[in-house]
Amino acid sequence: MSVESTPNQAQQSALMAVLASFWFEFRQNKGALYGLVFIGILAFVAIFADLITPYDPIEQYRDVLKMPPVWAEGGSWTHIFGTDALGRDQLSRMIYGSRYSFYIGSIVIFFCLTIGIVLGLIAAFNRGFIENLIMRLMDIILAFPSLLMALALVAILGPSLENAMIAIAVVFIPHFVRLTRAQALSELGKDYVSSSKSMGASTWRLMFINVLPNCMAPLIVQATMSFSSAILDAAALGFLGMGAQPPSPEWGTMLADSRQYILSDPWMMGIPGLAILFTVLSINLIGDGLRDALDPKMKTAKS
Amino acid sequence: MSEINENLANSNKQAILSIKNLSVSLPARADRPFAVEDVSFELFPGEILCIVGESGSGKSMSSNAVMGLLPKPHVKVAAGEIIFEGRDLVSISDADMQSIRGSKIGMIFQEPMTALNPVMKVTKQLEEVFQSHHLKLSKKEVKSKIIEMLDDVGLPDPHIIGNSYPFELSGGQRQRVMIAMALALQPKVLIADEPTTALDVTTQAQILKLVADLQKTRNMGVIFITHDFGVVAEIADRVIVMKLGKIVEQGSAEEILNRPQHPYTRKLISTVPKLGAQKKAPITSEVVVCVRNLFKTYGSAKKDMFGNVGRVVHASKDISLEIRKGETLGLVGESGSGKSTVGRCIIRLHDSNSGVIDFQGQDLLKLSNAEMMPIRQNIQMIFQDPYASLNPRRKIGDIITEGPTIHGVPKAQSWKKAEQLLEIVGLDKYALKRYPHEFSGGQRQRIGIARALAMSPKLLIADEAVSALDVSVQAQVLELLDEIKIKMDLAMLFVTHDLRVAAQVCDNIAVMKLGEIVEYGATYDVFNNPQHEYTKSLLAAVPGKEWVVPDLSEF
Repeated sequence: MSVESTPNQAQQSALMAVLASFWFEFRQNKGALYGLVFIGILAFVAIFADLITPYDPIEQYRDVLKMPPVWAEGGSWTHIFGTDALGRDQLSRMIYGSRYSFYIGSIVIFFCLTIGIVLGLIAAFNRGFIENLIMRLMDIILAFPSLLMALALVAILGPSLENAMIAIAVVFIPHFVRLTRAQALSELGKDYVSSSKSMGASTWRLMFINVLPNCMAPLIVQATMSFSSAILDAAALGFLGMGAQPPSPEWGTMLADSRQYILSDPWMMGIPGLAILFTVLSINLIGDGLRDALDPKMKTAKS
Repeated sequence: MSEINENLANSNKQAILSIKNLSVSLPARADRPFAVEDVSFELFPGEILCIVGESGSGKSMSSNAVMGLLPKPHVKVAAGEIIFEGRDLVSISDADMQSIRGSKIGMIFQEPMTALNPVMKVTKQLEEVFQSHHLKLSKKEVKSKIIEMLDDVGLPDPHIIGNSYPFELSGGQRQRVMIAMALALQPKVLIADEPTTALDVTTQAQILKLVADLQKTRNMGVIFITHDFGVVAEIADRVIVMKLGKIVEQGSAEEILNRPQHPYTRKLISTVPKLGAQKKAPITSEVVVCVRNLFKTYGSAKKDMFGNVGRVVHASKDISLEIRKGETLGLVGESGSGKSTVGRCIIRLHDSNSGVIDFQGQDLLKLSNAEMMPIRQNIQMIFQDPYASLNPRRKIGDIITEGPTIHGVPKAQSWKKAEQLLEIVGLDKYALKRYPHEFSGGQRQRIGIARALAMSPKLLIADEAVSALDVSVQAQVLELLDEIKIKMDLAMLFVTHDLRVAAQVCDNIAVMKLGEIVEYGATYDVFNNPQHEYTKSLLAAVPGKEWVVPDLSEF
């Protein structure tokens, strides 16, 4: 402890050091870096969709149906990615579609994290009947094939994007519950928790102030990975007609709309398909990088 | 014995292993450039050479360098030679090193549970040693050799032990298996890296004796790494003292232990707690806590849903004790004796089965959680592991003020008090805004003490509070605890396995064995006139008990 540094400076430099070391670890993973760049561009596009789209995504230009993209024969710069069977501009639909992807991912993850953490902590703090009840319920959800379960839920709730997101969240929650519980149990065995208990800390305080912050690292990684799975599952539900409904320009729905033209106009499916592929891949790569940076067990050797 | 041995070694024999100007470099971001810097020493056959130092002194690194076990490429030998049988171990190929490792130089580690493969039976692991060195032995020969080895290290029923998995054995048995493995191929040099640190004191005594006996019968050279001067006094012929990667002093055990020259060695030895207890006047102040007939069991004998009957462990069997104001009661015993459980039952971290814990007129066991709240302030605990007992995600200030905040003290007031407390425990107030990982083990333990004091307790339970600390830091923390006890007139329950520490700090002592108190009395009486067999065996097992720690205070 140097005497010169004021507490505020010390705090700042400590935070900077933590961030710097995080960035150092994250940077080691080149894939994660590329993923971050791709997602950064995608986020920019999604945020400023109104400003960059050349056309309204649901306006139909009936004179240019099924126009190929600019690099294919018969393409033109007026519609860079071409148009779909109803004459809607593909590029604009793709750009607006990215908004849906982020929307779906964020909402699903938000629900998964909040509900998963609460249930996981309750299970960890109430060993015995309540724990068994929660965990066996989660086991039951896990026992179903996830997409089938989501489909069944949407069938009950009615097909819409919101219901699809609820269904996906329900399917994902068990992973978060199990992770939170396992992490919390290992933290509960440590003496800092005993110390708080011996001072009379309430269960509430133990859960959210003492234990939870120490469980966050793997949860963040899990959340990132699930973000991409949510996009993928939403696209799958959309493709099956159970997710976003036409005319909303959601990538999965776009795939479904163009399914019948896969032989005659393959780019109509190819473009949204590739977009889903790269988005999911990028987010997974970021997740890998986060795990390397946040999980102390995988850190490179330090003094 | 040591002098004769050493003279013999020096005059008649050649060094079996000699290390010349060895330096081991650390990665760029470490706190110092070299783990081991310019270290030279020699090992002669038939001697036990102790390398002693505090954590981070580089004592393990130097032996790992000999074995070629440095965590390359981050840590590597930067300069120097390790001459063994005329060859430089630094420059030989990995394949050659492999043939030397195990067959000519054996090694045993601190934690036998992690050093043994948990999913392999003992015999199988021993067979591996033979297989990996391509000895032309038939299966039968290997089998009989293994049995012989297990017998040599004093394991009863070698057949049964050989057929067990490591987790089925006790710590001492595992360490014996480790030793058998290290000695399987009759190495000339044995490196023992803190082999008894994780063991109970009576087991430690047995293992030390075993190492010394085997060393004598096989005329091996042994490098014994330890942080414990008691162990040094017990077995060493020669001693090397290391500090921050450098050798500060070396010489015969007798010289170093009784007439240390270097200031650092003097400081280390002066901090070794003396075994002899002083006679103190009995304490007659008011009783703070009185425990009567406390029972606590783990597990239940009821059948579970599959019809398996559970195993019941009595962690506390009819425990009765009392602690008065200003008194330190030592609760000593080996691991599994239930000493920590008693402490945790008093503070109600564990529920008890039956009994009375009378704290200033109230029976704690009869109180509801809500009724317990006001009393919690009066009983505080200091934990063993300073790394696990502070929440890594909270600032020191938040950690220290958590208790007062729970009990409704305004933030400004409790922070003010936290500043004062940090001063009392010898840290400056800027520490409040920092996170635990920025502090060393000793500093963290001080923070733990400050946290306990923030509640102005009347009873302090120290659960192995100094066991995880280096000896010099340990002395400081013990001194601090003593100071605080006197200043605040506390009652203290001091749970420890270390009899030296207990002798130094405790007024009274309760010796526990398998959940029962077998002896309870004034420290002086327990140490000088033990009544119970178990107490006697514990005292007999203290390493280096014949060594009278020299009084170095005049310098």
